[in-house]
Amino acid sequence: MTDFVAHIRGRLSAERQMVFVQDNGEPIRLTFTELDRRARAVAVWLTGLGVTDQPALLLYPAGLDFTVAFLGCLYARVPAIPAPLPDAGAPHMRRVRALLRDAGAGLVLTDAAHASGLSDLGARVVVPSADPGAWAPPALGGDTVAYLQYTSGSTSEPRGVEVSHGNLLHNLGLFRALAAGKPPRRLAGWLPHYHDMGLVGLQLQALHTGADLVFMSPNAFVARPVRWLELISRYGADWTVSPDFGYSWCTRRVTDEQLAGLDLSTLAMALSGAEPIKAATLAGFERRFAPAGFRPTTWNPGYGLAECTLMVSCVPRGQDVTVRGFDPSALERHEAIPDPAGVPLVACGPAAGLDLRIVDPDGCVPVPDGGIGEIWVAGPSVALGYRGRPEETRATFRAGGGRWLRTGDLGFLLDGQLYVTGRIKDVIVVNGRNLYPQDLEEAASRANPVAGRSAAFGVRRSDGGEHVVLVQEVRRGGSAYLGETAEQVMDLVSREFAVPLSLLLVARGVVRQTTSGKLRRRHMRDLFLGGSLTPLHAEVDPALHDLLETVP
Amino acid sequence: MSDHPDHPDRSDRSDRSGNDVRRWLTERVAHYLERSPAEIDPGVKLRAYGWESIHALGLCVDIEETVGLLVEPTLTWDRPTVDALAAHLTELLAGGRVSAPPERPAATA
Repeated sequence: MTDFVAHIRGRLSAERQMVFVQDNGEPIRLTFTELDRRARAVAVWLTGLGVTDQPALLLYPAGLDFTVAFLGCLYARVPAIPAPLPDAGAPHMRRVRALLRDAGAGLVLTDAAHASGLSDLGARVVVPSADPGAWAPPALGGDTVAYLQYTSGSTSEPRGVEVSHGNLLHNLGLFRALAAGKPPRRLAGWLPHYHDMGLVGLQLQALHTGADLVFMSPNAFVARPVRWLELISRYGADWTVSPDFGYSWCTRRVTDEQLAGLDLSTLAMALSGAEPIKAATLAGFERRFAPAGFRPTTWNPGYGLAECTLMVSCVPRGQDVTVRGFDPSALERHEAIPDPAGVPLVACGPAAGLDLRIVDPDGCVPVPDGGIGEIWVAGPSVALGYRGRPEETRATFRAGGGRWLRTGDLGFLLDGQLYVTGRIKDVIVVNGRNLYPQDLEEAASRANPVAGRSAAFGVRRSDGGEHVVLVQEVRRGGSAYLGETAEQVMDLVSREFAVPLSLLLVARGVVRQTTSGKLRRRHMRDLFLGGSLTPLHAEVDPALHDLLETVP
Repeated sequence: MSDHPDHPDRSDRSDRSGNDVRRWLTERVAHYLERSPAEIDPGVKLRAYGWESIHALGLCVDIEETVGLLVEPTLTWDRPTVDALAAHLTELLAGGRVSAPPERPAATA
């Protein structure tokens, strides 16, 4: 079987269902057979519009309308582009338009509640009245594009990963193998459907493996994290997934009273991925939720990226998690030397089913054992490339003679398991959310159009979380002028991205111009951490003070 | 750590004064920032304490559940201090005309 549609239609069941628990606690249910019926109706409607093979942008709130529309696109051979529903406001709409342009998408789909707010984009609501019986499966092959996963919301450099039916089936096959012969029966989660881990890990995995899915909106989870655990408890879920942030948020926020009502003993697998996994998060969650029946063997730390569909490596079901200490100064020299008293790193399992190598990012040659380098991956899960970007596709997806994906992440292999230590790509990850320096820099330039160049980068706080730093050139001026400028930039950037931010205003010429923005940002980051930037004005988050050799 | 806000003057909502709302907001804000309420200056912008979207979402649900007002998370950027938030909520509670925010609310990601 080479296509996802044939695969899931071969195991449709009225016994299996997707349950979306709304923010008010009321569940909405659809059986897999009903999902399939609605998806066929959507596909008939789409085919009637004559949009076969033309990408369609899906802007939906959390819920089953998205799932129906997404499947409808697959059934009609329309490459779907799941994206966040834009908030009102110009910057978000600009990003959506950039994405539409990049993908060459004409059609925008949304639900009835959001159609009028998105009328500027010509958003349409799917018409469910078409006859599902009129659907005929389109020709789909392993190389047919199933959907586009945008890895960057950036206005300047949006990049849509083309994920094929073959990629999807292979990666979901890896998930099946992880379960070690005991496939999950009921998945639970809160991750957004436009996130690769929410789309593939929850929605598509449920359909692929024939498991129930119970899910809720990300906002409901963030506001009241106990609701995720209640979902697991109430529906007896045996499988869940979250970035590290989700687990630590529960540990910090769930009260004793809430804990008393939870039963997590049904959980057999709890995956963690999409951002660095902290040993302290796993230990803290285990301690906090052991009374609710959570077992340490439940953890499945993993590593992956959208360019490889979702998963690269993961600890399989039932195996203990390996946490080992490493000499911190050796790590800085890109060497992994075990030291029980050193920095604890969580092993992300073997890359079963894919080829993996660690490569010196500058010379593109494999590094010797124990060395840290860029993680390269090859195999059938590696996506087709970035849509409409042959050069970037060549550079990222066709390395080392053609078959290797450069992940942009750094790590090493030890005893057959992958450890992730850092990143050479520019993205900043905050609470499992990807932020792009280009977007932060663009926002800063809107706050102060006469300012010069800027560089945004992430730094690791002492608690392991990432923090955004923005270095912005301004003309020299009195302290009142500088204070006012800082205020404008901080107000706009923190409002638009809603993350903590440190800002350094510097003189013109300080943010060096290079042909590669990446080098410029890395260079500024080194100067910042080395305390060798002399800002005209600085607002540095107190959480960074102990990081800096000289506090500006 | 409690996720259960103190309910200011739950018995008689109409009597709730601006001070009660401010005290309650300070306590909630401090709770999300994992600081003591004494550390929160009601006149200082929340972003100076590391306020972010995950805090704002929690506070909005608190406001909805405790004060009975539906607000968007962007409110904590439109009214960026405890004082400004308290004044806004008090005005809404009094049923008075609510003045427009200083600028058009932009979106948070």
